[in-house]
Amino acid sequence: MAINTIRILTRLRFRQFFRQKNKGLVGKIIIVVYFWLLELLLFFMLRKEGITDFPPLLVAGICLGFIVPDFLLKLIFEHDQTVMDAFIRTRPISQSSWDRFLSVSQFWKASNLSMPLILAPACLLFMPFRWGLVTLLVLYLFSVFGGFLVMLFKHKGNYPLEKQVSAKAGRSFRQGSGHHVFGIQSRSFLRSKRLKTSVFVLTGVFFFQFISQGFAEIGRFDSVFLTFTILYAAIGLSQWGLSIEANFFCGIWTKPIPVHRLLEDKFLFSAFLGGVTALVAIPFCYWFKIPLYAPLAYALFNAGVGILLIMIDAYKCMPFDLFGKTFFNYQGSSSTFKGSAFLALFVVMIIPIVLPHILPEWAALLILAVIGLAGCVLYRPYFRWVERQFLKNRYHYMEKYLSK
Amino acid sequence: MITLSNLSKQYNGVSALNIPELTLEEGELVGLVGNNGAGKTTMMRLMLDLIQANSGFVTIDGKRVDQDDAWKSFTGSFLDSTFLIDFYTPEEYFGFIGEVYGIPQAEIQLRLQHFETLMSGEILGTGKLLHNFSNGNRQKIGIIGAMLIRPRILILDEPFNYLDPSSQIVVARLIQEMNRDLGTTVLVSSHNLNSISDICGRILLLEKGNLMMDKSHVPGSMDQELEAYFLDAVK
Repeated sequence: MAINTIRILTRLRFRQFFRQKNKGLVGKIIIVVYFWLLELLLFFMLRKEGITDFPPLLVAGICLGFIVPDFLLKLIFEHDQTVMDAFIRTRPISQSSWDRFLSVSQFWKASNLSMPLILAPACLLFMPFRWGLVTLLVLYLFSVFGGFLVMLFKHKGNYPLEKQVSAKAGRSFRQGSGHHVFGIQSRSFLRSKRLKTSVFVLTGVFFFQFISQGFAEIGRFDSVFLTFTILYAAIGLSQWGLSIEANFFCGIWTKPIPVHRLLEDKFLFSAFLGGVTALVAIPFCYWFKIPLYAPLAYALFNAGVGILLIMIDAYKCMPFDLFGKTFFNYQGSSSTFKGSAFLALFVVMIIPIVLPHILPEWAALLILAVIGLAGCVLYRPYFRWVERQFLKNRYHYMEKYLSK
Repeated sequence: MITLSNLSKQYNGVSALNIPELTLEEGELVGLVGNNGAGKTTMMRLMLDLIQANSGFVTIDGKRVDQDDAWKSFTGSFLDSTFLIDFYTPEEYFGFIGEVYGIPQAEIQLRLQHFETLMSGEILGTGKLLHNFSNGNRQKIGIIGAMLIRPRILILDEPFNYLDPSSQIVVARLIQEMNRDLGTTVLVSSHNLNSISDICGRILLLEKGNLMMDKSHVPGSMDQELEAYFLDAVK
């Protein structure tokens, strides 16, 4: 009986996975292929340098070392998978069958397969075949075990409706508190655990790296982690485009709210987040003897180039389910990967990292600040242009918003 | 005045709506009835420029809704939950509407008193986000949000859904009052023939996207013709 239930649930899960328009899957495939290409590139570059012998134990150790970030990523980003959604709860499925299904499903869960998949070329190219195969198998088993642990760790068992989020300030009528559309940005950010976690955690990780590196090499200016710290807070939010507004776009469209206002406010709020991280970074820059204008230059570049570029097609999105938690409800969570945002992100992060290496430090930072400032000055006409692109094909995009 | 001219909408080649000509006069309270899939929501979405017509157009005050945004400043509407901002509290949501339409917050508070019976103490001051309200209360919040601006045109899709009998009566009364006291042109759809018969002065019947009936009606009376139509449909 239990095996039959597990079989039915597995079939249901797979059908759902493959039959819904799964842009998230496309995104994951792109990321895996991207890492495969990097590994191949590294392999051939090393061969060209005459390095052909790679100590298998060392390579295996490095590959297995990825178990830790794999586990941490799952711990940070995964939600309680043990929650039955309304459909499952109302079927004759016993708790024990459900628990078994959840345990078994760890073996084919995408997040448990992704790290072994990403590292497959490295294992097979840099090690003898048997070593590589065994390393991959161990990596896979550890990843499955990690997934299982995360499932247990995140288990709360509450059906989402039972857990109500309250607004602390919502008891009294808030008069003229400047809601308008800016409030949409700040409140959606602060009240959605999913959104907040994704932005805060990665910003925190980059900040930690920046500080660790700063302590280790006082006086030496390396732009990588400072750039990531300042850029990610803003870009992590703006990369979603209008995914949040897509949830209630009918309510927006039927009111006298121009789309460019939504975009402008998202830009301002994202730039504000970048500005806050830059301000937090300033005392550390002083401590690490990094020029104090560096974080400011990055914050300006972040706002005037990074966010604008990321939001160039902000309207091409699916609704982002701010409160999504249940196992079978993947809508709006994994289906919002945008290739253009990924590309823009790549460009935006590369420029401020590379520029200080090819130009004198002051000149690089000056250039970043000036082009950033120019972007900041031009953001209004820019978003009016983006709005016009949206309006040209608005029904197509609005239909997608309605498809949640 | 709202006009629909040669309006048609198809989904995957299947006709969802086909209305050659229809006019809703200023100050009318019009009920829209029809079985599931009749095209009621599609018609309302086209009127609110939420979807693209395959042919034809909708005008409000002689201006096409897909070409001129003027209608947005005097039209209140609530079709479904995609009109609600889930991460707002009711107070914030109503405050947001006030700001968008340039209504002072004090005035919004004053206007909300008019809806106290409908809210029955369950909506304001709870500190809950809209996401966490029951379907019935979300429906009430959406309806109040549409009415709060005292619109010249009010479009409501199935406003009686999810509501308890008392709330249905209150909503029907509020719609009628708005139409009578402010001269608001109202288009309201429902599966509930009684609710529509009770308040509407004109009833439109849609069936598979076609307008089958367009008749004047005396509010409060039962419409035998309409009942007979639906009874025949199940025979």
